[in-house]
Amino acid sequence: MEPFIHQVLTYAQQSKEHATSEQDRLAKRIQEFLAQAEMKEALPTNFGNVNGVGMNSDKNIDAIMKSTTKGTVQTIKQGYLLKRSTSLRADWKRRFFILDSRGILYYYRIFPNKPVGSQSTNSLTSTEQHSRVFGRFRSRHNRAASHDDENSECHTVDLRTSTIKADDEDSDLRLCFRIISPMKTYTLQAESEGDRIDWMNKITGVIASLLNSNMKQTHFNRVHSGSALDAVGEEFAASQVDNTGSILDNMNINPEDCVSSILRKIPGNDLCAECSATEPDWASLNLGILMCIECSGVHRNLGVHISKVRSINLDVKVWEPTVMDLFRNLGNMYCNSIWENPVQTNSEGGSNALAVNKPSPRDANQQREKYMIAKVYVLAIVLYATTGAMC
Amino acid sequence: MGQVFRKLFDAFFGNSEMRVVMLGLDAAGKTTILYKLHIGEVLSTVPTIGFNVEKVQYKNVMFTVWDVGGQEKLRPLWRHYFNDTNGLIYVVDSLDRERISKAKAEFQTIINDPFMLNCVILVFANKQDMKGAMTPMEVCEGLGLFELKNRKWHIQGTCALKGDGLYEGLDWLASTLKDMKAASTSSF
Repeated sequence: MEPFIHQVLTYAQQSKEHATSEQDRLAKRIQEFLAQAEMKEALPTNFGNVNGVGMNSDKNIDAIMKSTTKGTVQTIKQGYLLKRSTSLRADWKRRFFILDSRGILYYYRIFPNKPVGSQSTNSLTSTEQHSRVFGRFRSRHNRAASHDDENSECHTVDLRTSTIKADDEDSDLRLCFRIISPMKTYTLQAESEGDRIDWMNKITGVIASLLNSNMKQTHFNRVHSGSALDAVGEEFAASQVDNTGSILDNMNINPEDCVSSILRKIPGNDLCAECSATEPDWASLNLGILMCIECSGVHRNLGVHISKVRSINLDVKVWEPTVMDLFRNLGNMYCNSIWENPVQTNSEGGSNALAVNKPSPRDANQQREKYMIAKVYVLAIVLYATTGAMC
Repeated sequence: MGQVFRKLFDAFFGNSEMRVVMLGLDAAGKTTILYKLHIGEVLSTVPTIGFNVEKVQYKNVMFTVWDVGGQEKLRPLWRHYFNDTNGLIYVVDSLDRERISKAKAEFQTIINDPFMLNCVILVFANKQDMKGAMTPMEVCEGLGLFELKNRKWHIQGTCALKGDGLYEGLDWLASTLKDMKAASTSSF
């Protein structure tokens, strides 16, 4: 009887193992599918592009960050990430990261029990989520570590001089992304693919709107008063002081909000002159049109003798009264009425030597370039015609 | 641990690393140059908001090139990249005669920064393929390079689209860096 019982027992165990392995496998597949689904959702913001930052300064994030200037601080994203330490051992540590609407990314050793900004050491002993067996050991370890460097309780990452990279050099690092700044590189690992993309999108958006907006003063004040700028010398802090100063000076001379709002009110200027993308942020000084960042790239390729491209947010001094007058008199609608007529495909079916389809925001740059070159030819013809008539 | 071994290995075989910051007015061609060097292709670029950083291996020098956006409001951020930098690549749009004085002003501010006093200066007079572009000599005069005292500098006419002149520039950077290292070790 006994051997039989044993046999049954082993059989039962085997089938149990089999079942659990099957379950694991399925769970993994579910995870993969979830990640894929999340990726698909997150895809529209493209990271394949050269420019890590600023492509799609997320309008939502922009809005949140603008509201912050009025006083309230919101958390854009928070959660645990694994951070690779910069020491020789390069081991991974779990840290609680918070990205808030002032454009500051900071992290704690453990989840802070007090609201954002508190830096008391009390938080060490509480809410350690995974404190099961090693809890005591770990908290002691933490305390010892925090004793070493007093300020390490809350680290701040200066996002203004940071960029995000998705692909780590070591391809074996899954779910990783890097925050690179001249001072330090953080290698972080998210808990899932969707989480990683979400973090990257949000941080990228925050960096873009930090650079585009005039929040630099508030950002700086917070960083400085928090005295949490790790590994940055006093000279660096000093240099930050006067560079924020100079930015503020520029703003006093010419508040760029005015420039962009004036320019956007001109007929047709709510859409990119080339591809009709919304909210164009770039301008061609000599052509008097506004366009999106993608089209501005193509315009820059044409050379300054054809189009002088400037940003309506990032360039300040060029927006002199005479230039503004030019833009008031031209504008996208007027300019396109001259240049687009000959290049537009003829609806009556008549052949048009210059006919090129107008690009849409999703078109590749080749298509844009073709279209713009066609437009430039028209400009040449117009110029020739007018000067010819005058002679 | 691997990093330590690699450093030892590199030191043994004479490989070295160089940190380079690439600056210049907007639309000078910095990002195009960076990616031409990094992957050997001309990518369609858009204005850089923030910066790009890539490693470029040339001969036995590993260049870490920081390419920082050149729009007016981004220029005050340039100085954050100066610390611990061995070389400056200053890119000038040779076609843009109107703004050469602006380029000069920014250039002088950079090289007179306390952090940049010891770095070597490589100027790329870019877009040489365009008709009516300034010659490297004209760019030289425009930036006031001849007035520089006690600085190691070099000017190179380039065309980022074809890749002309880029590696000649890196050659100069690498050899100058090596000379400087040799000089500093022998002086100790």
